[in-house]
Amino acid sequence: MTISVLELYPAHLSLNGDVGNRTALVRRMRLAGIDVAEHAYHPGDTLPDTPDIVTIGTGTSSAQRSLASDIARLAPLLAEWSEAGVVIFAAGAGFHLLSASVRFGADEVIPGAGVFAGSADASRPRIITEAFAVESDFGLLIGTENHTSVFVGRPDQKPIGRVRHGVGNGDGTDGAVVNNSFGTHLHGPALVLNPSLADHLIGLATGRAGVDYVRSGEHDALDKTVELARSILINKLPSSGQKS
Amino acid sequence: MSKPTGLHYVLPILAGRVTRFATRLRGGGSAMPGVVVQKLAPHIMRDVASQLPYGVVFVLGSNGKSTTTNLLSAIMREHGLRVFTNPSGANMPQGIASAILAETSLTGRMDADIAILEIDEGYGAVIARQLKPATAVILNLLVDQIYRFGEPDKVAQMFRGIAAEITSSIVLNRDDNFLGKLGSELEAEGRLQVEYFGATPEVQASAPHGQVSARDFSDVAAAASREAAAEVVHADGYDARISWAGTVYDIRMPSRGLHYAVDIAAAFTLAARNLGDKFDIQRAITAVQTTKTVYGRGEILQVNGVEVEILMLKNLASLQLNLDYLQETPESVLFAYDESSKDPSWLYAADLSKLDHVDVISGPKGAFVALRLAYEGKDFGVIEPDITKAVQRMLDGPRPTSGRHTFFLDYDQMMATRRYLGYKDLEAGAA
Repeated sequence: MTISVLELYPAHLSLNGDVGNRTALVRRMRLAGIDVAEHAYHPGDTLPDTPDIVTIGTGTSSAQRSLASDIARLAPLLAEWSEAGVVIFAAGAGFHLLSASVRFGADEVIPGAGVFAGSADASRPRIITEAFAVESDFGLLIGTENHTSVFVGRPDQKPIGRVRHGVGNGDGTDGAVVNNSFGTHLHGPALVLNPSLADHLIGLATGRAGVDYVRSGEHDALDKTVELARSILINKLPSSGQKS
Repeated sequence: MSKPTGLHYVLPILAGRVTRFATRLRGGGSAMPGVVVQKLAPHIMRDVASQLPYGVVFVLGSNGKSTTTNLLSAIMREHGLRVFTNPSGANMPQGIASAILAETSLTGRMDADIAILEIDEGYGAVIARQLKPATAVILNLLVDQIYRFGEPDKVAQMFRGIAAEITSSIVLNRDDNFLGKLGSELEAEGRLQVEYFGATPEVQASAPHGQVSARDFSDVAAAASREAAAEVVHADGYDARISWAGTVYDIRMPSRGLHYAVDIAAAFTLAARNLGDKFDIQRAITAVQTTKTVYGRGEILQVNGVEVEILMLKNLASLQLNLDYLQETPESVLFAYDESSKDPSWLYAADLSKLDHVDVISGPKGAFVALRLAYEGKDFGVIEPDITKAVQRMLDGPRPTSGRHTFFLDYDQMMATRRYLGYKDLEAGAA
């Protein structure tokens, strides 16, 4: 049984080394002896077969605009996958493009794929948080945020967590979770720095596919290096309890 | 504007000199003297610059500024011009002001024919308003300093703003996505002479990752059918062939790679633009072939009978191009990553297949490099955050059979490494 990982628009949405999210998922599954196939989808490609995991990353506003028509084409498929429980991990612009709409200016709004409820206003002043930290069900998520947006979700939609340092959605929360679809403003890329989240996503995908994901000693060795990198950002956080 | 009499600059410049002396005693930075003099004499920069017979030239772009400034200066000197240039990396307003004022006489005169200045894109428009450059070159627009600029489109806007302050001509990389479009805009506007340099489509296609230019998604790229004054027709290791005025010339470059060859093509185009009929391609080639690399950019240091090659790591493009043009898998590798490189996310976009291991990782953010290698399943020896200890560890290790250590360093780590290895000529720049 092969687990397939599909990265959407890697030539357009790769501003912050976003392929790293795919790298992290694939590496961790292979260390567990799982057979993995990697795929990429570019605008205009034949519509892809249903994958086990989808990733979509960060990009410039001009890249997002240029994807508007292709997103519309992919929207029904993405919504169907999300409904069915396919694991989707969307960061930054990718998260916004999978919401209901993205605003770039007073009268410029493009529709998103509608996987997540809510809308992004990406016309705000730029926010850059080197050590962006989110308290979540998967422990402290850490990374970097660099965007110009405020995201307003539906009140009953669960965020990925509460912001400990940084801005995220703009209301003290970050991202959104719907079925097995996760959206966030964390890059770094997020999954290389947050193995608990990566393992959770892998667990969901392998569970659906009937494959066992069992961590090995090699995961522990990898995660020791992850800890070193995480601690550099964690040491930059203001003392606990304080919010920016 | 009245011609400066000169005497009214004596006091401001003396004040600047005293400041320089005082900051050096304290071991401080070099920006303060510029601040002091400009406070006392706000127009001094423009007045000094306006006396130069060949005016002021700006060298702009994400990568290659120091290298191109160095090449262009060598070409101009070979043609008999007296060149003033800013020390590599001192490319923000106060650093430039301090560098200019250090070379200015008490009466506000500079002993030079031309000023060739590398300029930070973020401050370019401000500096251009002060210095009124006649010509400029823009080398490339790469995904660079996202932490500072947000997105490449913003940098394109900055270049547009700088171009608006240039008075006579501009030289652009024909093959760069954003700059090709800027060229079309400037041609339509008709105010500036616009010229191009580039590399043939074959050369670009044969480069493992091209020139790693940022993509412009705002509309369909214009067909690259325009002429380049200087065009790279071949680049392999240290050897390049550049077409100029209908003839192809062989050039042995001081450092490797397509990016270096393209910088040379830029320098030829810009030199010819400034020298007019006096430009002699043979002199230009001699200058390029005899110039030394700028410190830290493909520079090879001799340390106790072993070579240390320093490759600078600034962003995805500089790392990728330096990797792509390594002649073989490097045997003995140090890789340092500094705190000044704020967001290391781009490391995941790099193709590291040219490396099979790294011996020592250093710098305050070295763990991010280690993690990148770990996800690739590549061995990274040890992490030694202190750069001088890391360098010593490399030198104490087994002597590489190739006779060469390869160091990937970002700016601050490069400076510290050179200092530690006894190369203390940094203030003088690369002559």
